[in-house]
Amino acid sequence: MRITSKAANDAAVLVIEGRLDAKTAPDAQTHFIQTIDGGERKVVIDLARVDYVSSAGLRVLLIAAKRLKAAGGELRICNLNALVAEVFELSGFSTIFAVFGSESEALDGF
Amino acid sequence: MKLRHLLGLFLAATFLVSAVIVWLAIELRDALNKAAAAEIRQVQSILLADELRQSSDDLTRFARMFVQTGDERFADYFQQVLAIRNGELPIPDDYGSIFWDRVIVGQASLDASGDREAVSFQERMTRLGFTAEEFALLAEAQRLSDELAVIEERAFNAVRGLYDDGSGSYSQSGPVDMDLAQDLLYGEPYLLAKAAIMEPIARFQQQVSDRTETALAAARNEADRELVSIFVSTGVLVVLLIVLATFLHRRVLVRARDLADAATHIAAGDLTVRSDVSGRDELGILGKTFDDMVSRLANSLTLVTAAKDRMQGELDVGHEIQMSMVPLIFPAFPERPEFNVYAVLKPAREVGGDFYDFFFIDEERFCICIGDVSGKGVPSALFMAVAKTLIKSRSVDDFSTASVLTHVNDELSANNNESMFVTLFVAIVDTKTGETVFTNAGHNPPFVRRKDGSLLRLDQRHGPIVGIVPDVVYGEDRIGLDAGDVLFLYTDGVTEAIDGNQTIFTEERLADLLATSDWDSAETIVDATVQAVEAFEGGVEQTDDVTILAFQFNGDPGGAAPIVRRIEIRNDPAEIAKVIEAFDAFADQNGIPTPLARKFDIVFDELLSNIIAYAFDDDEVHEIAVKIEKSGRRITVVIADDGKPFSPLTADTPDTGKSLEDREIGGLGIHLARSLVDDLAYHRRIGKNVTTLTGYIGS
Repeated sequence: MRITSKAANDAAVLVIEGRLDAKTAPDAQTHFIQTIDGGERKVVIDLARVDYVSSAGLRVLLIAAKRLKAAGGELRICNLNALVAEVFELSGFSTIFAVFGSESEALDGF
Repeated sequence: MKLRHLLGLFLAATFLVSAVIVWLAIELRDALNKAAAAEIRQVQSILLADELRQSSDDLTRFARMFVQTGDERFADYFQQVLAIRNGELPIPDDYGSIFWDRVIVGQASLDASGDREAVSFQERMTRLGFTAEEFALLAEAQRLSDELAVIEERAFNAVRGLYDDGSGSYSQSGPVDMDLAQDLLYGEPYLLAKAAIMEPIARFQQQVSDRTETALAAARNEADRELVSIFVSTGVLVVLLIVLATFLHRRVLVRARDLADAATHIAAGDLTVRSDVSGRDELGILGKTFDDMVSRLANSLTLVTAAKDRMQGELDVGHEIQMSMVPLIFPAFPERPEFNVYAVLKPAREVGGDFYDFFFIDEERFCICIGDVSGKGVPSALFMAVAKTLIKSRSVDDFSTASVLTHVNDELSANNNESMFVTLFVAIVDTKTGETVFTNAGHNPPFVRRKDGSLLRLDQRHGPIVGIVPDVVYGEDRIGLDAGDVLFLYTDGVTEAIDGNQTIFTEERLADLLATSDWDSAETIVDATVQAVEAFEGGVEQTDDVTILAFQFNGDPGGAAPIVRRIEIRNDPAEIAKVIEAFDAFADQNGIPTPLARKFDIVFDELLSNIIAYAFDDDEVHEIAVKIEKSGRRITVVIADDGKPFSPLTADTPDTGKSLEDREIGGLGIHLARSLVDDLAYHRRIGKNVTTLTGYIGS
C-alpha cells in the first residue's frame, strides 16, 4: 500500500494505492493521524487505486473520521470501486461516510 | 380339628360299633341255641310222657294177652317193659309206640339193642329237668300203675295156678283159673285203676307242654331282641359310614377338587385364580400355602415382566438411536452426478448393532463406512454413536483410512470397560478420479463389481476389530474405481441369514447374486440383495441386522481433475499476506476472476486476523492450514486451526445502522467474510476449527 498526499484548495487529498487490510492498516492509520495532527481539517481520501478494503481498513477510516469530526473537520471519501462499494454497503459505512463518485465531486463545496 | 384326628375318631367309632355287632351276633347265636335246646327238651319231654302212657298200655296189653293165652312169652314181655321203665334193662334204639308190636311178630327184640345204658324212667325225668310238680304227677301215675301191676300179678299167678298165701307171696298152689285171671284184667276195678293212671299222665303232659312252650318262647324272644339289636347296631354303623363319606366328600374331596382346579388354571398361566381353601386342618394349611405361593409367583412374574419390558424398552431406544444415526434420505447427493450411493439397514428385533455412514470430507473426497457393533441395546447404540462420530471427526483432515482407524481404535480402546467392539470397513473415494483408499478392521470383505460384470473381493485385512486392542497401527490399501464400478459393502446379517432349515445364506450365494445379475444403480443392487435375502429366509424371523451399502462411481462428467494448493502459516499477523499472495497467484494461474479473488482476499484477511488475534491463549507457535481448491467453477477454501472453538457462523452481526460517533468496529470482519462468499461452513473437529469457504465463478 502506498499513500500519496496532495493539496487541493484548502483540502488535503490522500490517494491510497494497493490494499487496505490488516497488514497495511497500521501504516494508513499513522498517515491519517499525521495529516490530521498537521492541521488539516478538510480531508479527502481517494480510493480509486485501492484493490480492496477489509474491516481493518474500515477501522482506520472510522478512526480518522471520528478524530476529524472531534477537531471540527470533515472526512470525505471518493472513487470506490465495485468491491469497495460493496464492502461499504455491507458494513453500513456508505451511510456514515460522505462518499463521492470522484475527487472533484468530493472537493466541491468543501 | 385336624383331619387326622377326625379320621381317627371315625375309625374308633366304626371299630366300636363293629365290635358291638360281633358281640350281638354271638349273643344271638346263644339265644338261638337256647331256643333250639328248649325245643328239643320239649319234644323229649312230650315223648317221655308219651312213653309212660305207652308203657302203661303195653303192660295192660301183655298182661291181658298172657291171661288169655297163658303163653309165658307175654309174661316175659310184661316183665321186660317194667324192667326198662325201672332202669333195669337198657332202652332199645327204636323204642317207640310200635316197638312191642314188632317184637310180638318177631320183627324186633331186646337182644338186638347191644350195650346200651339202662336208665330208669325217673332218672330220665331228672335229666330233662322236670319240675317237682311234674315229678309228683308222674310218680302218682307210676304209683297207680304199680297198683295196677298188683292186680296183674294176681291174674298172672292165677294163670300159673298160684295164689297169694296171705303174706303177699304167691306160694300156695291151686288149679289154674283162666276165668279169674281174665275177670281180674277186664273187671271194673282194673278199668278204673287204668283210667286213674291216665289222668295224671295227661296233666303231666299238659304241664310239660306248657313249661317247655314258655321256655321256648323266652328263648325265641331273646333271639328276637338280639336280632333287633344287631339291626340297630348295623343301622348305626351305616349312618356312621354315611357321615364319614359325607365328611370326606365335603371336607376332603370338594376342597381337593378346588385345589386341583386352581392348580390347573395356574398351570395354564392364569395367576389371578386362588383356591380359597381355608381352615385349620391339613388341607386348609395346604390351601393357604398354595394361595400364598401363587401370590408370590404372580408378584415375581410381574417383576420379571416389568424387567423384560424395561429391557425391550432399552432395546427399542437402542434401535431408535441406531436408526437416527444413519443417513436415510435418498438420493443422498442429487447434485453430484459423478456417483450414486444407496444403503438399507433392516434392524432385527433382538440383536443388532449395525450402522453405516457416508459424507463428504471435502469437495471431492467422499467417505463411506459400515460397521457392526457387538451387543445390543442402549450401550451398543452409544458405542456406535461414538465410533461413527470419531470416524467423521477424524477423517475431516485425515485422508488416510489407516490413520483414521488407528486413531478411532485408540479412542475407543481407552476406557472401554464394557469390552465392546466394532468391526469396521472405511473407504475414502476421490469422486473425481475414483481412486479409493480403504481399511478393513475385522469386517466382512466387501466386493467391487466392475462395469464389465466381473467381481472383485476386497479380502485385504488391515488389523483387528476396533475397540479392544489399543495402540494397533492399521494398514490400508488402494483400488481404482472406473466409471460404472460399484463398491458393495454389507454386514454379516446378509451372509448369515438363515432359512427354515437352518441353512445360511453364505458369501458364495451373495457373490453369485452380485456377479450374475445386471444392475443399473446402487439402489437396484441393494434392493435386489435385500429381496434375495428375504426370499431366502422365507418368512423366518431375521436374527441379525441386515445392512447393505452400495456406492456406484460414474466418473467425473466435468473431466478435469481438481486443482489444489495448500499453504500453512504460523499464528503471526505478518503471515496472513502469504496466504493472500498464494491465493492471488493461484487465482492468476487458474483463471479466477479478480473481483472474486479480491473477495477471497478480504475473507482471508478477516478470518485469519481473527484466528491469530483470538484463537490462542498461549504463547506457543500454532500452525494454520489453508487448502485452496478449484474444481470447475467452484473454488473451495478450507482453513483449519487448533485454537479454541469459535464458529464464525454464530458471531453476532454488528449493527450497521449506527452513526459515525457510535459505530464500533468489532464483529464487522466476520460479517464481511460471511457476506462476501457464496457459502461459509464451520465444523468443530477434534481439537480443530474447520472453516470452509465456497465461491463460484460467475455467480
